[in-house]
Amino acid sequence: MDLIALSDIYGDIDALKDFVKTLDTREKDRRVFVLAGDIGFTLNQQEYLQIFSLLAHSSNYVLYVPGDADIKNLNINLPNVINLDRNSFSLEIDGIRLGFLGLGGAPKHSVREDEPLPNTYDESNPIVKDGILTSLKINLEKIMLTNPHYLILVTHSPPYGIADRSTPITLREIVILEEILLDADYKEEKGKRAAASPRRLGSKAIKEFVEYYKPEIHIFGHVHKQGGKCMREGDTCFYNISHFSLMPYKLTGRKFLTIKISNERKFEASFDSFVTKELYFRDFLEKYL
Amino acid sequence: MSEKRCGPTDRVEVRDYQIQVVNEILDSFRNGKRNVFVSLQQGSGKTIIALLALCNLVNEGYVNSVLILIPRRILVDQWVTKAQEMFYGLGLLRNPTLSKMRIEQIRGWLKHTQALGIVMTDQSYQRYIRKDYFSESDFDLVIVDEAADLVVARDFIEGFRMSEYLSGLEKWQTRKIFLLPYHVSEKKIRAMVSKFGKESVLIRRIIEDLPTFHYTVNDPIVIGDPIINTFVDALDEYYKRIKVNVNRILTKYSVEGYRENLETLLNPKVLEKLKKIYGVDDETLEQIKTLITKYILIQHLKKWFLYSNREELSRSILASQFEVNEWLRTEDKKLDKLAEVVRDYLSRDYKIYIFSQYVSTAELIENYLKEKLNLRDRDITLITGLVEDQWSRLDVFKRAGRILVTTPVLDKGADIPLRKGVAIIFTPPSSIEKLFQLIGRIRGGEITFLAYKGSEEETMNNVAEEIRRSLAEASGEKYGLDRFI
Repeated sequence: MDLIALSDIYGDIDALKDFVKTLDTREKDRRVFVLAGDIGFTLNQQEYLQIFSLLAHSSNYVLYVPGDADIKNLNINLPNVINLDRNSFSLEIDGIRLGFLGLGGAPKHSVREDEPLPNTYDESNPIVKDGILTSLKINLEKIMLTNPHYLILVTHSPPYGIADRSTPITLREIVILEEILLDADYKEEKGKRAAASPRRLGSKAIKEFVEYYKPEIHIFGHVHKQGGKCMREGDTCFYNISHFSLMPYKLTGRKFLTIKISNERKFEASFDSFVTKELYFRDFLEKYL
Repeated sequence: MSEKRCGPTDRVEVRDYQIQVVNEILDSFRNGKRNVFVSLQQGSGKTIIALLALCNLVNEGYVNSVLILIPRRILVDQWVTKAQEMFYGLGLLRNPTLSKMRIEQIRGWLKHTQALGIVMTDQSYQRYIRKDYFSESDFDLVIVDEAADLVVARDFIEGFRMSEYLSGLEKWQTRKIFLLPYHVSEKKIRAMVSKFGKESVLIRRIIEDLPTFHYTVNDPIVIGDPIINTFVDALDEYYKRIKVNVNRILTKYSVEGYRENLETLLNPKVLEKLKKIYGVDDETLEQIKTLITKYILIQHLKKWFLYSNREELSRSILASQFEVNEWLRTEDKKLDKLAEVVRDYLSRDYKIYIFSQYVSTAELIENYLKEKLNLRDRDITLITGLVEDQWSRLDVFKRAGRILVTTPVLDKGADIPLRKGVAIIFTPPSSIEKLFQLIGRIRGGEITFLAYKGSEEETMNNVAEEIRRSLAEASGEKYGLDRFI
């Protein structure tokens, strides 16, 4: 069974179409797509439908959580498309049972104050944080009734402290570039500057949950600059899978994660980019930068 | 003991030139100046001078509360500890953190402990001021140590601007003392002084009887890796092509300037100017922006390849390209050579300071050397802006460590005398000025560069030559490297 995880697609339907074409149609029934949020860009329902239909036709299931840029209820009525936001779902392929649970949106502190994003939560409010934890725990309990071989948590936000640092790129040229742009922003609105310093953007509620309930796999996106990182802590493997879209950085876009699950105890995960790998270096630069 | 509130302890040997500079500072204040810039060589005791001036002003009743600004968190503890060892009566609150203490507590602490003031980082200063927690009326004197970055170069067109962290300070009427090393360029110092207006004075000189430090600049160690050259050549070619294209556009619209520093063309103000004055249309402006972004990215990538930033490379789309993918699977030849060089120095009982411009490369170096040379944790110390206990780690290295791997986080203020030591520059800093700054940290010893055969070799040869030339010039003047640091 193959789990193909994508995040931060931002409505890039053309890239997605090209990507899907590269997949082996014979493997469709053994394939599950996992989308870790920020699926659309314009909040246009038609755009979402297009994306989900495309993926639903190329796989057994499409499991998703909405990101901070998506609305909470995407209202996708396709039979094999499941919203994991504060929800759980179990499936069995080739005798391997997978239990999924999820949380969409992103903590307020991880986005710019002035950006009107539709799906954020303020976890500094204890009631909100408790609500998140309670929902995750209830869904965990439900999913454990199916006795899964793997417990997989899908969130849009990283847990606090893991692949969640928003670092400025260290090269002087980029610093100059960012300084110039940020300075221009700053003069317009001071609030924007606050999001420019390096800091941890992950969710403390999610961190608390994974620390105690230890899913085998945790898939998330959101913090673009940490995309492609995989880390292991205890029994949990963490994957920041952002970002699939060519925006905001061409250099780190087109990314996806494949998790091949061969039996009840063994899986292999690898990151890849959706590009023509055989191009010579010069041609590659020409085409993709 | 005198009735003075504060002053130097027996540990301080105050030198004549220090007393002379202190008197000049005090005279400047008496004559109505508010901002005194002191630019002396490293090792001349600028901090002692500032503290002597502070004590004088305190004892005469002119100062009751001082704000001391330090560029990096790692230096705050070191600074206060040293200051309190050398001077009595210096009750200073160290970098109070707003996330741990409420402002009322901080103010209460200051009031009830009769503290003389606060020592904090430039970044903390910015946070306090933005929240209006402190203002100029809270302090009678401000001391800015390591003030070289008080102004930062914005671009060639607009010249220097106040650092984001310290902006606003130029408007304070409070008396201020700025300490900066001698090597800072005249142009930059002039820019600083001009930001602070006519009530400013500069005390800048070379003290002749200071101890000199001796450096040996080795020839760069050259590493052969033809694949790296393939990547770098392709990137260079691409880079040149973009430059030509941008220049063509500028020529077409008869735009003068900007060619020396194309990054400037991303500045919204410059783009606006191109539109209004030169009539560049929106489509062409977009084209320029795209080209410059690529131009910056290419430079960026070149450095990733040259400086073993495999972590970033492996997370980029390039990792999927078949040649890069293959290269990423092989052992990094530069790291391998570094291990060989480090092993050799260790066998000769050297203390080793390895510098990398990038955190991820520094982390990679630490892990690689630990594994390759089978080092104990105590043997190798990593200090970057991302580690929490920078000061404790530095202390471990000074007392018991053998190898220090670090980034620009230690380029200012921290003393790392190595006695018998070598600085290995794995990734050169962004300017010669910064290179001098970091070499100055080790107070003498060997300097070694690593470079891939080809264009990097040429660059590093030039850098080594430039340092040698400066050193030779300096020794001719009998000032050692201090002439430049």
